[in-house]
Amino acid sequence: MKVLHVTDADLPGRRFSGYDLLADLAPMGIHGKQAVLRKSSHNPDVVSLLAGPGDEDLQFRLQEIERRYSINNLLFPWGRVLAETKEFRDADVVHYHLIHNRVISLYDLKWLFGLKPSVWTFHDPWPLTGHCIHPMGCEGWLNGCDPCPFLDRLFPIARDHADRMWRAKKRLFSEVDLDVVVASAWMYDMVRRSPVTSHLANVHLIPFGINTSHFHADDAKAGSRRRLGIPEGDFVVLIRASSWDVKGLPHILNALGSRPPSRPTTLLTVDARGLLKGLRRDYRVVELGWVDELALYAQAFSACDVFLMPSVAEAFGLMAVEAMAAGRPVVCFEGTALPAVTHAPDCGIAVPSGDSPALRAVLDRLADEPSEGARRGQLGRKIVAEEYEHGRYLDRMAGLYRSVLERHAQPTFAPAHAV
Amino acid sequence: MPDRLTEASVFETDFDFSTPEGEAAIRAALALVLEIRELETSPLARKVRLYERTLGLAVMPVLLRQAFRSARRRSSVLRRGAR
Repeated sequence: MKVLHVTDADLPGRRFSGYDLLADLAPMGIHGKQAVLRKSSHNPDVVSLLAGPGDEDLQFRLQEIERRYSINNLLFPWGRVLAETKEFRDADVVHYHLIHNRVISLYDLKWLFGLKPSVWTFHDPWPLTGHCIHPMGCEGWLNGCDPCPFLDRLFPIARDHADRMWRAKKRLFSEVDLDVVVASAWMYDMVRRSPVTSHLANVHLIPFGINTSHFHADDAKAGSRRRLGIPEGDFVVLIRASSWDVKGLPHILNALGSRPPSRPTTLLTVDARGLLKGLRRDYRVVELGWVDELALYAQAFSACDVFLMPSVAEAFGLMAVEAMAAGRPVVCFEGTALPAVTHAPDCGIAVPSGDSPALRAVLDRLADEPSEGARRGQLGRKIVAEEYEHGRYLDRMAGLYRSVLERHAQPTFAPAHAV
Repeated sequence: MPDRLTEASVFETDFDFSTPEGEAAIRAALALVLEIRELETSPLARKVRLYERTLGLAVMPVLLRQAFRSARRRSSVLRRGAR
């Protein structure tokens, strides 16, 4: 079987937007290709849609027009370029991923879904909203996004066209035969509650999987700390330092900056550098930057005592699962996918969204009582082995592709052919 | 007065792109955008002007129909009021 994955980029986000599936599913007879806007790998199985002279300029210009006129993902013609590729024509199933990153016009999707059996992974709630990627407490998506009180949220719009975008999406989903994949019970619940998608018959909850062998056992902690220059006796908090406020950095700064720690503490960060300058007086700060190397990435989890992940919006949270695989407790906010993904309160620890003092209280408790962190970490590894193991994820994806193909092969299936 | 069409300014009007006819207009524009993309002789600046003009031209008939329907509704309300 041939599956084509369509998304914005190949290597960034490779673990969840198709790239890694190309090789991982091949032994199971699923031969993958990927079509992306911009290709950064040298993989011959990946094709770039922005391939013609002037395409980058056209893309930039269309982005500008959409920004100026407050519309999202309507004007990008790359779905038509996609349909002309050999990879699309040869595919048995087309799996769409982050196509709302300015890849395909919403108005070409019905046509594309009619050409090939199609699967779309909702990596975030954008398909359900008027313009934002995460509603973050706003419930406008339940009744038409009219008016939108948060025009500045990603993707920002200057004039309030959110209701029109919402209606355009509602019409699209009312006219297509599509299999939707979500990775968390939280996203599944949103899809079921949304007037845009509640009628869809084929919605599959398939959590992402991770290769647990990449994440070190507890006895590797001392070695990881040595390699990263972290004193063995410190309490170590791992943080994703991101300037995208959805990832919760302001709450991290509030929680940690409210008073000095009760015992020597290292803040170990991945992603952006230089965002914790204000905490250097009271904490040792070790910044790894953006980590592509898997061994170093796994060492970061191995070296920490707790993973602090106070995202205010998260549709899955792969890093939380990786921390659990490494046997580390995860501290997060309520109101996202994370409490369910981490099995809070038994395994993960969730505090009310935005409550920085509560975050700090949990960190202090874990610093003072290492046995609690160890117990939660142990449970996390068990949960990962049962629910998020990579082989299980691959089996479910392969099963999904086969069932989609079978269903579409039945004579009752009547694809849409709107052009 | 600036050439409003060249700025694809229809999106600043009441053009409702969420309707089936709005969708059809935009899809027609996308096809033209791809044709312009394949013009080999035109310099980039001219292509850019064409992209924007194309969007404006594609949605203009929809806009005119919407304006016509709206004017007809207004005139009908006025007539009823005059009786």
